[in-house]
Amino acid sequence: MNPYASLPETAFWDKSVASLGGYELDPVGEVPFQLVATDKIATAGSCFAQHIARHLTKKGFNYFITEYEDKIGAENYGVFPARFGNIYTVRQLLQLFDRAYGLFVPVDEFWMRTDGAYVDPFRPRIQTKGFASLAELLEDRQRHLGSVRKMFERCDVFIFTLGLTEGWKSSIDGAVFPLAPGVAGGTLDDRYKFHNFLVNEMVDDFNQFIRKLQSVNPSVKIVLTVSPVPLKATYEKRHVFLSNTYSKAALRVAAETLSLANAFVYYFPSYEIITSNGSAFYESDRRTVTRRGVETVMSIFDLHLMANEGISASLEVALPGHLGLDPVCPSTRKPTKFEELSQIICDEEALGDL
Amino acid sequence: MKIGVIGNCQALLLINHINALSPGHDVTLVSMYRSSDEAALAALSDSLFGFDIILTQNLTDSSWGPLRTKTLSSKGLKLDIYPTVHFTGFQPDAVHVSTRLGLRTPFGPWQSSLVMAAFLRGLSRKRALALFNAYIYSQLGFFDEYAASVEYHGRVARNLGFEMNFNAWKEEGIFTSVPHHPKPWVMKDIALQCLAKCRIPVTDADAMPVDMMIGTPVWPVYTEICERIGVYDDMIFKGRWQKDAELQSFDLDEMISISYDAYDGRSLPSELSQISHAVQVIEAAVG
Repeated sequence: MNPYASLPETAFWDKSVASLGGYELDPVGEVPFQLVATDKIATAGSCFAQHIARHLTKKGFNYFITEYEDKIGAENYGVFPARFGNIYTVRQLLQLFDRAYGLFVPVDEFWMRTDGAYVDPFRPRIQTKGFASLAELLEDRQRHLGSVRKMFERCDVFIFTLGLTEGWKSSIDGAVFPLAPGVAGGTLDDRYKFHNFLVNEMVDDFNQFIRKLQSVNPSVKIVLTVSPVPLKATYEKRHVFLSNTYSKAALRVAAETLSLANAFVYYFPSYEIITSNGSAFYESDRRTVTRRGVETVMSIFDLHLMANEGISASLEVALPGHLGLDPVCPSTRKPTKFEELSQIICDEEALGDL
Repeated sequence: MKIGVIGNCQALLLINHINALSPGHDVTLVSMYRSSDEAALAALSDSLFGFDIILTQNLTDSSWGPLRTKTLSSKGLKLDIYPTVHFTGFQPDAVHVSTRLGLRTPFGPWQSSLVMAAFLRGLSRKRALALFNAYIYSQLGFFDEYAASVEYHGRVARNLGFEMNFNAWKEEGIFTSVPHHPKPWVMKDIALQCLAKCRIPVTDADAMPVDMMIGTPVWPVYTEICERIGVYDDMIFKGRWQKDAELQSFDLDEMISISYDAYDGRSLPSELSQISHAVQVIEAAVG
């Protein structure tokens, strides 16, 4: 008997990919859990994670913010659950946990900017003007790390977007930074070195993170995604396209390994949804994901992961055709509300200023 | 009735409640805290033949000498054993350290296992402070301690024919100020059960005598532990009351500073299981 004979259509490329029109692909199968409106949902990761955060807020879900200020949105309050900025690498996430719980005190306490401002090496662009003094920075960090602890301990769901394999770390104590020293503060010298993480390093780091997170929050569920945004730049001595291929492949393998090993970890294929349509979901720079691309990802996210929630009629959501709605070809529409996308805070953009 | 009550500080609390609930009996404390030399303890032991009822904790430590429960029982004395409260569910970090070590703090014999371990590991006060969090508590087993304490005390008490009404006690609030010191409503419950077992009628069931533990150290229930077991507390450590002085209260930062000052240059009981466990946890966590 042909072992493939009894498999569903989704197991066959011809039936579930080649036969579909553009924008119809929904590769999500069974999901191990769903999110309900009362779930406290925290997000972190690369800049693509901010799309998820904004969408959850828009849909009225309980996007969990633990670090408040009067002006939400100002100086990144409310953009992230706590003001940790973008977390590009798994090691950075693990070290955020360790720093929040007093397990790791990095040698790099602060960096200076050329304008004399102090910056936090672990979130160098979190405040436009940096900090006026070291005392101000340390006070803010103490409050911030308290908010990080609250997020880890009280969230019901933690959504993490794997962004990069390339990073910069301290040669002294291994501290990993979101940006290379010299980009938004600090000075690049022999105290720092470039590191391109391997799959096993990322899996080990994330497993450590899971163990630690569960020890403070035993019932937490985790959703992993891989950012579909290509690398802005590579420090490897090779073409950025090759580095990008390695990075996405390694992140995807890490996500697969982790979700297979843990029932409470689910991989959501935002990377596949965006890249399955060639460059159609990218702007002309072939890097920025279009609004339609983001909306498509989020509509599939809603459909499968959000329990008892209809898709908001007020949203212009590009739904896959198999849901009974006409897919709208992005080429026939000019990009609307592009400024909304431009609000996404991507530290990587600073690399282009070098 | 002539009632002898043997035990640690809880014996005194029990007597206080028995006297309030059923006044008119001759209730006497029989404790090594009053007479600690062997001859005096032997005399106390012999005097027990003159009592109608002997209430005792199950005393096994050699320091109790002839007052050890097994020894008394072997002499043919009829003993009614009441449960000892050493409930670590609320204050799992508070460790009882002998005062003979000369650690002078306002908290009497009570020390933080976490602070002592941080000191022994050579961590700064600032780093010790940063370790007071949910992750370290989980590694130390603090979050499991309440359930474990309930299970252990409940089982031991049931074997003695007592019921530890933890849920009802918790409804009243945090029912220990340190692991050895139960709140009055706990001791009243135990006293009522002792009287019932001895068939002594209660004449004033509403009686609640003054808390004799007022002025003794109070260890707070840490915030993250409160959240998990459903109680509320501040993070204020209260020191032992001293004559003509106000009650001393300290926040976590101050408690750490006081402890570090007291530990400096002293020999610390690193062999105590709570302390050695905390040292191991900190080593594993921070390297």
